[in-house]
Amino acid sequence: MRTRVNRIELFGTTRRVTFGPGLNIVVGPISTGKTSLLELCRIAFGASVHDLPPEIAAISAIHADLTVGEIQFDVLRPLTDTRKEFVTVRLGGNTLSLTNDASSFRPEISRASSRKERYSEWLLSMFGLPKISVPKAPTKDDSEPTPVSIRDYFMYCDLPKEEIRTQVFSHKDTYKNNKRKYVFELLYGLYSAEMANEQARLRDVRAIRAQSEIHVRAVDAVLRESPWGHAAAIAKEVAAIERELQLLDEARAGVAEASMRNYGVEGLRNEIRELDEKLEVVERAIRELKADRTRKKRLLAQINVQVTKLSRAMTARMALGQLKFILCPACGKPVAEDRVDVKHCVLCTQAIDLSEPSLEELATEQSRLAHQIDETEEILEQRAVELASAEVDLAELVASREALGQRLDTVLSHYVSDRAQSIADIASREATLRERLEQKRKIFEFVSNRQSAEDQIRALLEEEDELLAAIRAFRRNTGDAEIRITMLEREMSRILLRLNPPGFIDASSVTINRKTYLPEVGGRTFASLQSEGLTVEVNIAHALAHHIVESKLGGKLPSILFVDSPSGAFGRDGYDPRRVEAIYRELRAAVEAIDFQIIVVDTSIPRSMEESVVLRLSETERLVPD
Amino acid sequence: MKAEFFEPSVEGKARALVLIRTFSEPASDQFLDGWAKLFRIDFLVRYPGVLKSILENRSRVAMFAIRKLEESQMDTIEERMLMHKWGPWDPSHYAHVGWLYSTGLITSARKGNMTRFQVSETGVDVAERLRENEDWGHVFARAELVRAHVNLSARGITELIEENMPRFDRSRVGEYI
Repeated sequence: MRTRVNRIELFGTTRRVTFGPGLNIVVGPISTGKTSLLELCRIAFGASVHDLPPEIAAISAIHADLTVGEIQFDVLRPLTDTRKEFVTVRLGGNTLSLTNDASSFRPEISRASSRKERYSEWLLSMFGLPKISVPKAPTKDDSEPTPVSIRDYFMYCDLPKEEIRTQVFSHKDTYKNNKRKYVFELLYGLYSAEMANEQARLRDVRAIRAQSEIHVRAVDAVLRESPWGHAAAIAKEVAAIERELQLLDEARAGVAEASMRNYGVEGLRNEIRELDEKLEVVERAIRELKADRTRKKRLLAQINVQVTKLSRAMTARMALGQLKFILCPACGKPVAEDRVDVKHCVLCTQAIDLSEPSLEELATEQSRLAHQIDETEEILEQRAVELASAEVDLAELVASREALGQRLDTVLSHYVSDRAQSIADIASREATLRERLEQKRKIFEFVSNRQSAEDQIRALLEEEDELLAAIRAFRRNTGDAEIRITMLEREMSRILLRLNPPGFIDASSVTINRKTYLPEVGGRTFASLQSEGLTVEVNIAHALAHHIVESKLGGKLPSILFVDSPSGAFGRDGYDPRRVEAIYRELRAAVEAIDFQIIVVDTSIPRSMEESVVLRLSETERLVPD
Repeated sequence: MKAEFFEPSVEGKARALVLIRTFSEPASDQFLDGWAKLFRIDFLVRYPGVLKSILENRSRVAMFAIRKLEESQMDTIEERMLMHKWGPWDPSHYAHVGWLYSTGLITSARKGNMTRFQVSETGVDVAERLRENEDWGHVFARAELVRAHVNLSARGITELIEENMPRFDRSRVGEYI
């Protein structure tokens, strides 16, 4: 994928370096800051800011103008690794603030401590590369996971001075070599994010299984020391105890019933029941009598009121009835006595209604009422007698009921004291059985847990097998990868052929080892190549071949290469200007063949390469002026 | 209005005579002052329960006087009265008092806008004949308790009734009390 450093500005100095697409050469004598410039370019792409050389201590931050794919963006990155400092990215109109990705990558901690995205993770997404973790030990699928970061991909874009003669992309560092191989597999389709997930799942499954196995072993250890058998036997024992408990319950109930019969308890109870029924009848009768008495008293009061009224009416009639009008109520003058007869009104002279009851009739009514009062009072007296007798009955019944209750209590207490021993025996037997039952149930649970742990282990083993099969199947099914690796071999061989190193036989002699993913020439490993110049040429050819193949296949490898001192690497003895020139020629050919940026720093360069020089440093014109 | 149910009766005439007799003396300066007072004292005589609770709350002396009341009649109401604008009312009393006047049992006089009633000598004789009857004796007893302990203006008596009778509601004009 197109990857470019367009410009880099060093804060704290006045230095600003502009790079173009294609080949960019920085030339200058030793100790003028060439290597530091490459280091700063790597930092712009997410490399660590740890252990920076002292000569760039004056630089507080870098400001880089970068291109990834079709996107151009600005990065402002401080050269300190504290978490307070942020990497600022300006992309289009947006400004992102990301964490300064300097400390070692620990996913679980970083997620908890910082909510902000890391710059290196952001870059991974810019390149469209997956965020995955791989086993630390490549041969053990379930070994501790380690993430594949953007720096691991950039290993393929870097030929540092101290490694260009001796190592292929840091292959002598075990940790880096592991990552280098994973990146190779990811790039060439030998490994994938899905497979990483399956490996992660395998790790989890094995961890859970290990725990379950520890549990089972612990349970086994306890069981070995104990007389308990397996779950089924314990279940049988539990059932036996339960049955015995039930029998005990039944026996107790039977014994109690029979004994109570012997003591005459049942007879007493029946008597009490009969008494209670009688009591209820008497109580109900008393309630009714009392209600009747209240009703009668109310009636008596009403009759009395009527009698009073009658009495008053009669008296008033006798006192007032004979009186004659002597004054006219209208004018107050005397009224003539002989105006009318007794059958007419003295005032209006109209006939008087004589239909109102006579004094005799009123007297008859009065005596009728008096008789009614007598009758009612008689009934009331009778009710009082009945009530008194009923209350006596009630008192007697209550007394008998109490006596019977006491008798029953006495009989029962005798029964209890007589049976106390056997009751206690049964109770103690029951307590023992219950305790044993509880114990057995716990053991049963314990043993059952072991059983379920074993079942889980079995299920986990099955899942492990499936996962391993899937992983193996994926590793087998990499036909396309083989084609790609063959392309790489051919490309590398073609470049190496043009570099024309001594002792190089033919194109077919360049191979990539399918286990180490390291180049081999003429059947010899990189480490066993004697000539210093040859290792540089192999390294250059190998790196260029990777980028060319990746570019042709549309891969995601950052299409940029940093090369430090290809000429110096030949050493004094092996130095041959023609071979150095050939290397530079191949670098140029590569940038012409594909969309590729190469930044080379060197002490001296072939004359033909002068036009590609972007910066010339010297003792007086250092990268970071004193 | 239920005034049409209140027809004059012999008992009504007799009770009006008892009240005027109790509150006045013949040929003296003692009168029963006005119709309103006649209605209010009649109410206390007809509602012995209300009279009892007024006496209980009135004074220690009044409390002791309750003993003179006939216990069996405490819960009864002899004859209901109507609620009028200013208090208890019985329209039949207009006929009763008119009859008492025409038969010469009472006399009347005016003081300003108020009509005052006074018993005549004949009225005293007739009242004494009524008193001989035990049942009328109770009515006399109540009327005398009222004169002794609740001899207030018509308005004063109405306020006492209001304080001592929870269901007494002046707003229910025309309803039975």
